[in-house]
Amino acid sequence: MIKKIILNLLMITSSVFAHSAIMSCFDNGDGTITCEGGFSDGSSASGVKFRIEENGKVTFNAKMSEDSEVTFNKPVNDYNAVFDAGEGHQVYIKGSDITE
Amino acid sequence: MKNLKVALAGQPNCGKSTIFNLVSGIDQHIANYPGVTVDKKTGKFTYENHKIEMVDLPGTYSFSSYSLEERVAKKFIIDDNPDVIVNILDASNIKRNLYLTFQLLEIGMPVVVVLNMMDVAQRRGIDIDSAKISEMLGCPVIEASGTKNIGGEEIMKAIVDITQDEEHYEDFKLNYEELEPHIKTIETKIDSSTSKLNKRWMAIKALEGDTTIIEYLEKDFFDIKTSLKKEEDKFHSLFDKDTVSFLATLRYDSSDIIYHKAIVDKKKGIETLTDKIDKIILNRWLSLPILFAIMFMIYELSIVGGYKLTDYTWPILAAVKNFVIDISPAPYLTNIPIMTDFAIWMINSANALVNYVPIFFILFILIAIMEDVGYMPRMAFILDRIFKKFGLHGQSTLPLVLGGAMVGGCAVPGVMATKGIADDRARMATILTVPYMNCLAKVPFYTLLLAAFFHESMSLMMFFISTITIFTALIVAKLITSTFLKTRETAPFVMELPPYHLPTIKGVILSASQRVWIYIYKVLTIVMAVAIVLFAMLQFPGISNESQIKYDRQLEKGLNTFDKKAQNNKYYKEVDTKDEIASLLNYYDGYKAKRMATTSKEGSLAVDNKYKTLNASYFKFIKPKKDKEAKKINRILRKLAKVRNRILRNVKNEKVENSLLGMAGKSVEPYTEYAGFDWKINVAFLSSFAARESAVATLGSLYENGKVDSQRAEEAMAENSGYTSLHAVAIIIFMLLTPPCIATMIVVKMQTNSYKWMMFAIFFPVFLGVTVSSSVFTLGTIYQWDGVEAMTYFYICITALALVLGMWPSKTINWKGGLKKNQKIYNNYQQNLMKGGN
Amino acid sequence: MNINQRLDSINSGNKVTIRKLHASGKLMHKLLDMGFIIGSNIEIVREAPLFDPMELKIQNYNISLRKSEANLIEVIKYEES
Repeated sequence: MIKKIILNLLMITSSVFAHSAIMSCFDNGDGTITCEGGFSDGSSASGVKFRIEENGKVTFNAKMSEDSEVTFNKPVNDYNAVFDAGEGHQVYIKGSDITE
Repeated sequence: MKNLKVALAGQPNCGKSTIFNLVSGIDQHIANYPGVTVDKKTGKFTYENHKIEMVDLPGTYSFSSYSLEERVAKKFIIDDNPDVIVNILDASNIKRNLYLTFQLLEIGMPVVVVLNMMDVAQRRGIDIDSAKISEMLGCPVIEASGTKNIGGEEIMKAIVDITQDEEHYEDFKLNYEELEPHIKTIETKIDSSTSKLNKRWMAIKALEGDTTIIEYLEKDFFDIKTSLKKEEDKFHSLFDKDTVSFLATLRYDSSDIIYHKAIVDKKKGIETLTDKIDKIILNRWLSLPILFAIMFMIYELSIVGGYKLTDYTWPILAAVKNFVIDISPAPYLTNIPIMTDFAIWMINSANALVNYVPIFFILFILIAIMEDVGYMPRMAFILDRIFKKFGLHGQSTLPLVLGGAMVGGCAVPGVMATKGIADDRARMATILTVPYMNCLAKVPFYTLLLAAFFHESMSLMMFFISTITIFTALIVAKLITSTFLKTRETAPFVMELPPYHLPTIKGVILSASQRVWIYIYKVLTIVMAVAIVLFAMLQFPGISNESQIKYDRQLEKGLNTFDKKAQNNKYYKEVDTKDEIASLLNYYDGYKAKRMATTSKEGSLAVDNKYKTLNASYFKFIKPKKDKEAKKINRILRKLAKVRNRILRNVKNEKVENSLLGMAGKSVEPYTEYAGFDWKINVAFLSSFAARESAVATLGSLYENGKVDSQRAEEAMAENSGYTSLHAVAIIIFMLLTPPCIATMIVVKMQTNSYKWMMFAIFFPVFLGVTVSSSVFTLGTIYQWDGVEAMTYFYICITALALVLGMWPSKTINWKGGLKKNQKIYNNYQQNLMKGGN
Repeated sequence: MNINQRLDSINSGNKVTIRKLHASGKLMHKLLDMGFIIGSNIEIVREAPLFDPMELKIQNYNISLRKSEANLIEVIKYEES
């Protein structure tokens, strides 16, 4: 158990580095939202995991496209858009902050 | 306006720098003394109508010529002829500090003595009669406390006064009793010298065997060495003593006299706070855990904390990048002007390096605190025994830790931190070993490979990678010191453990800022130069004519689709020409980039407003809202953007493949295939030499070509490359052993002051890397190991080797003069005396 | 106590006086500069956690010395006068 913790600690602290994960989202006005992801050093985010969380539950799962973006239907309730490139490389955007 | 040149001299740990900071303000300039890697700190300021240039000499225990610092300090006195020497003493340690004071007074220049850290002395119950000391030494004695900002004014006043008082200044003479007649003889001999320096001082120093002074005198008196030997022999035959220990004894005896007359130690023998703390810090059982805890804390704060800081600094860098893009020539559809490409490449390279600055800043602050507090010598004291076995030194701890022990670091500050190591051989070994530690920038690269090939055993592999480096570093250190560095001078481990004291905020921030500035200034400039070269090597000769035609056709197709779909649109007129579409695309790209760079809702709104004012009609295509027609345009615009982006990616990859660098990568393939590397890996390594983090970007984009839409680069690599996990291990091992980046090589050159060693630091690890990874790969192929197995065996071998080397009995240490256990040896003169007759 | 006792063999907590220095060259100068002159008193404070080097108190300050270096310093037991 302890070994696992130590190993995980090592993993976390060492993979934190080099570039920050970033994401911006746009409301397309037609009932869909498009989120575009990336990294601060310009490397591509295609294939990175993306999900929508409503009330703690995952209601949508996808991966960033070749163009590092993903489009989804705008949820009715409050939600979080999550760009997940691994530990320390996650971006959370509140649905309420996504403007038209 | 009088110009005054002031030299600040004192023993290490006397708080000299604090006094320097106290009086000289922040206009400080750090350079090297000519030809050596010793820091020369100069401060310029005005005081009451005088222009003061104050030089902080390196801390020295004595003023002989046996260490580089002493030689440098002495040369400064001889060559630069300061108007006054300010001697800083630790008030709690006056007896030992006076040893240097006497030597400084003898030089014959005006001296102002400053008793620093008076507050500590008072706390320790030490009463000092400064007036008495001043009377006995014949010079002004100022009481001060640098950390408490006390005494600065008085010091400056004393400096100014004493330089105006020169005629009244009396030559300081220490009566050397039996040696006096010999001093007189030499003094007479050099009397005709035109030097401004005090003749008696030079005579004494010459008799001491001071090489700097002897060389200086030899210029005018070619036979000075013979005369010196004659006097030394006479003295020795009469008194059976050698001059060096005789002088030392006399000086300490004189210090003792002053100590007894002017100082009362009320609390003598009682434990000081430092003693109490050391009982814990240096306790047999607690010292190592405490050390690890402190190291870990430094990491958490600097690396993790610093990284969090970059969350706030990166938008600034992104804004700069966007600005650069804005002022560069605009792209036209798929035609990106080379200027723009170049600008983007350069700004990306610069940003990658500048991104580290918050981390370095915090790191340097923490180091400065540790240095000022006095923990560094303790660290060396604890770990010296282990490091000594591998040819290193207790003081190698910090550089190695900075370079990345366990969780990772950066070799650049690591190598820069080797400045303080006294032992020349250990210092060189440390400089050459630090690059083997865990470079953080290599981590994304490992992550890429691990995610692709070692999904289940990721933690285990990461553990191997993080912990193997210290062992490889130690082994390399042992190797280097037993071979290449064998003949280098080593130094005795005679090291003071100074009392703990609180650092000053000003001192810490100054020290950190100065170091960060050196990093930015020196490293950035060279990396930029290399980036330019790399750009050229990756761009030319470019894509073939056939490919150009192919891509143009793809673009035409995309444009036609756009046109067809827009034809019946209300807004068709606004997007019916190629030019308009091109500028609309650029507008769209710009908008997206700026939105990505903002992190707040207000920021997003600001971007929206800006773009609205920029071009209101275009804006509706970006944000159509309820406008159905505009929405249609928006959709086909996005599709066109996709097509264009795909073309750009393909163009880029083809360019790289055809480029000079690509050809270089292909040309070394026959050699690297023993390690399992194909040309793509080679290119990634070559191009990432500028900065390791771009290895991932390059590798990633090389494999993006032809992959399925939503695959991650690593998955693509795993599927398309044809590599096995064994290949991956070979790549990882190569990455582990090769130098981190150009920046590191630059600081290696800075610290070793030689291009020769820099080349060694580049080629030896590459050689090692290729050999070892090839061996592992070849063995693995023969024995059919998979990646994890290969890594495990490698790990076991390395740790075993390190442990064996650690246990191996070490050779006798050698320093100048050699160890002769059973003979009575005084100094060289005595040896010569015994060899032949008189 | 043996006449020819060397500093590295003295245990922590003891006080000794320097009788003779058997070092030469650079080490000799370093020792002299740091106050290791004949007749000076040394208190052995402790050994490092890994048993080497050793911490000494001399001329009112603390210093560390490797045992191989301390071996070159001949000492006798400190006599309170």
